[in-house]
Order: sequence, then structure tokens, then C-alpha cells
Amino acid sequence: MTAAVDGRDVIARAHLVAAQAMTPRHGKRMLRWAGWGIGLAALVAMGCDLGFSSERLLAGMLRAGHLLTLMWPPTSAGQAGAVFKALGQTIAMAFLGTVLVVILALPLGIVGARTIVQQPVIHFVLRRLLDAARTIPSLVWAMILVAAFGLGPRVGVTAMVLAETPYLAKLFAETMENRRQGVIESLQAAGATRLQVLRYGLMPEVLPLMTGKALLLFEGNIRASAALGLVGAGGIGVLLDTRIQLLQLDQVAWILMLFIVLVLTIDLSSQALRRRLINAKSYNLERMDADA
Amino acid sequence: MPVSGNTGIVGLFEDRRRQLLLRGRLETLVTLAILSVLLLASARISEFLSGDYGDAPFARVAEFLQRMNPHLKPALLLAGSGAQGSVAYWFYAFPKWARALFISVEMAIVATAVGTVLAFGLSLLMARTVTQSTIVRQTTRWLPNLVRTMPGFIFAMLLVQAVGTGPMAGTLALTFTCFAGLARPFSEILENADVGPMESVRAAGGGRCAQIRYGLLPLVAPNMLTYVFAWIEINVSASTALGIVGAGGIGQELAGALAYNQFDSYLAIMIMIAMVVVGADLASEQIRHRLFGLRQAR
Repeated sequence: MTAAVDGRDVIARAHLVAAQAMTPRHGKRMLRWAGWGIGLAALVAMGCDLGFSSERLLAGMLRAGHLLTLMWPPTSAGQAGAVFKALGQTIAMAFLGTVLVVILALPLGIVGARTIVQQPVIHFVLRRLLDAARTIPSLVWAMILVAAFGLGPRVGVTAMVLAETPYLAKLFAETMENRRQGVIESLQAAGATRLQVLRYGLMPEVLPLMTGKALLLFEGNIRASAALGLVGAGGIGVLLDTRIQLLQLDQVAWILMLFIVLVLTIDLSSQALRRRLINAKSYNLERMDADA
Repeated sequence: MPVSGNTGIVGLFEDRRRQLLLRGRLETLVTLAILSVLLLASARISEFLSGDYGDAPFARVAEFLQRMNPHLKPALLLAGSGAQGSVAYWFYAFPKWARALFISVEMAIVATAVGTVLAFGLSLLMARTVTQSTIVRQTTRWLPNLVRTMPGFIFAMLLVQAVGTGPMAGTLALTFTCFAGLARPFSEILENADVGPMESVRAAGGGRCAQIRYGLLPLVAPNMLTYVFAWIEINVSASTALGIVGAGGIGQELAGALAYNQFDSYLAIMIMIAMVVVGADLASEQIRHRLFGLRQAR
């Protein structure tokens, strides 16, 4: 250190260092900005490829505004009875679909769980099959089933079962794999048979969780069964489809209002039920102790 | 009241236990009874049991499977598209289908990107940690809940009426559902975030934007991204079906195959869809592992 330090020099150096400290890795920063730029450019390119353009968007918005005015005032057009019947059909489809999916997914999930069936080949094959089947949306199933077997809600239920069983089976298998092994092992040590292990070791703990998943599935199925109607697979979607095609949007608005109320009611009650199930889990465990 | 004749503490215990067991079994029985009544009713309403199946339903299933069968011939498997029984003959419109599938994936990516940005903007207004005004929070909270009640396909149909057939309608429909699906988890993540870093940025003189950018975003981004990746998978799968209502993508090809009764083409397209969706799942899994390490992977 020299004795004569120029104060201005120190400050200038501090400015230099501070600037470097604030931008430590200039190159990396540039790279990041370039990455964002490329991503944005790719997004815009994809948008153009999909036919997005400012004039189409503008025209679409104007037309959407016009369609919204057509929706008012909502009217049942004297077909309230048919609408309620279709809504009932939608609920029935969703309920039956959910129950069938659960019944089919339960054994598949048990076989697919590594902790229960200790047979790596079966486990691997089943899991991969479920993964592949999971990818086909229910509407894709519904369309070909309608083409093969004719219109009707029965086809919608079948499509739901085909599309959702693999999904729920995978979920069940994972739930069962995540259970703690202690209970099962102690039952095995006490000489319980395979079925008894399932009944007393697994079911009491897994059942509330699975019921929760089934309720979630039911909520989703109400929405799904409305969509299934669009290809003629029964329920409220059939009515919505014809009315949207004919631009009877005031009736569409009326049906949608009812549908939203229905969905909200079911979602809220299912939420309450699920919360109770989680609370009741400890009670169930106690009862299992008494049972055994 | 002791029934078993045993008096004293053991008898009381046994009685109480029996009562509890009985009640538990009764509850189970009543639940099962209600469930079966509901099940029977819904089976009737949905015509699952009562409906007219026509004659020989199983023969029709067999006939249907027969029509889906591409009738591959082992000798001609790799022959050109002119030879009946070859793979090329079965996938005769492969370039067209691949292009339509590519559009489906594009729809999913664009919709997820735009939906994420919109959901993030709205979730800032919905979260207590960012927005102080109760009125703004309560009003914005309603929007995604309302949109979420509607199936995406109804949106898609209405949008087809508004902007015409084609991938634009489908992309907009996916954007809506993705936006509504992401806004709530995003706002929950924001609400659970630690406000400490934001306050220190404010103490250092940072404005509102700087607080969110440097105090909040680094904290919440990883959690939010896991939801975004889940939605990419959902959207890819949903986009393959949207074309059925005229909203663009591979679904249009599916509808076309049915219009000409080409059930074997339908099967071919379904196989392609399955491969793309599995591919998208694997890719998103890879990126997630790269980004967050295995710790946060599902």
C-alpha cells in the first residue's frame, strides 16, 4: 500500500468491482436470455402453424361476443323435463362407470403392486400394459364404440370403464406399495393366509384412501360423461351437442347453468365426504384392532 | 346392560366390544345396501342392464374386433403400401397422421405455455401474500372455479362456433382449461410461500415487481413447474381427442376413419396416439428429473 491513496481512484475501483459482483456470469446470463428468446420464437412459430393470426383472433372475439349475447336470456324452451332426464342419465353414467372402474381396478391394482405379488415378470408386463392403455382418452373409445354398437349411454359407460380402469389400477397399485409393511409382516408371522393378509392387513388401511380416490374419479366422471354425449354416448352432452350445432345458445346457457350447479354440489359434498373419510381413518384402525 | 351373564369388568368389556362390532357391521351393511340400490337405479337409467342389446351381442363384439384387425400377412409384412397385408398398407396415410399428431402436440404446448402465464398472473391476484385487497382476492377466486366446472369439450364446441373449425379453437379450449386448472394450485403455492425474502427485497428498496421477481419467484418456481409438467401431459392426451368436435389435430383423422368405416385405420391411429402420449410422458419425466433431481419426482 502506498501512502498516498487517491480517494477518487478507490471509488472508481469499487464501482468497477461492484458492477462485476452484480453480474457475475455474463456469459451465462446471455445464454439464458437466448434460451428464452428461442423458446418464445418457437412458441410464436407454433402459433402461426396452428393458424393463429391477429385478424382471426379479433374476428373470433367479435363473434364470441355475438354468441354471448345469443345466450341471454337463458331459457328451457319448455324442455325442462328432457333436460332433467338427461342430467339424471349423466349422473347415473358417472356413478355406474365409477363403480365398475373401481371393481375392475381393485384386482388389477392388487396384482400390479410389487409388495403383494412378488413376481417381477407379471408386475412388469401388467404395469406396462396399464401405461399403454392409459393413454387413450375416453372420447376416442366412445367414438369407435358408438360406431360399432350404436348410440346410447351404455356405450358411454363402457368407454369410461375402458379409459379409466388402467389409470385407477395404477393409482391403487402405487397406494398399496406405499403402505407400511409392518402390519402385513406381523400377520404373516402370526400364520395368516394370503387372503387374511389382504383382508386384515391391507384393506382397513387402504380402503379409506381408495374411497377418496373413487370419489375424485366420480367428480371427474360427471364432467367426462357430459363430454361423451358429444359423440352420441348418452347423457346431457347429447342435448348440448344438438343445441350448439343449431346455435340455440339461450337453451345451452340454461343447461350449462344447471350443470354447473350440479357439478358444484357434487364437488362440495364429495369434498366433505373425503375430509370425513380421512378423519375416520384413525377410528377404522381402532375398530380393526377390536376386530382382530 | 350385561347380557352375557358375566358380571364385572370382563363382562362389561365383552358386551361393549360386541356392541361395537355389531354397529360396525350394521353400518357396513346399510352402506352396501344404499350403494346397491343406487347401482341398480343407475344401471337401469343408463340402460346398461335393461337396454336392448339386439341379438347376439357377443357375435357383434367379435365382428367389430374382426373389422379392426388389419389382417397383416407375415410374408408381406415389409412390402410396399400397394400390397394388402403389409404394415405400409395398414398405415397408408402415415405422413398425414403424423402431421395431425404433430399439430395436436403443438396445440398442447402452446396452450400449456399461455395457460401457465395467465394462471400465474391470476394467482398473484388470488394470493394473500401478494394481494392485500380482499375484494380483488374474492372476485378472482371465483373465475377458475367456474371455468373448472365445465368440461373442456363444451368449450371446444362453443369455440369452434366462434372461431371456426381448426386447431385454433382447440388450442383456445385447452388454454382455458389449463389456466383454470393451474390457477388454484398456483395461488395455494403462493400463499404457502415464505414472505421473508419478499420483505427483505422491499427493505432493500425493491419495488413490487422486484419483490415478486427476486423474492417470490425463485421460491415458488420449482413447485409450480411440477404442476405445469403434469398439465403438459394432460393437454397432450386431451388434444388428441379434440379433433372429434372439429377443433383440430389427430382427432379429425379419427373421425374421418370412422366416416369411411375404416376401423383398421382407427386402430392404427390409436396406436400412434398411444406412442406419442407415452413419449410425452417419458420426456416430461426426464426434464423433471433433470430440473429437480430425483428427490421431487413422482
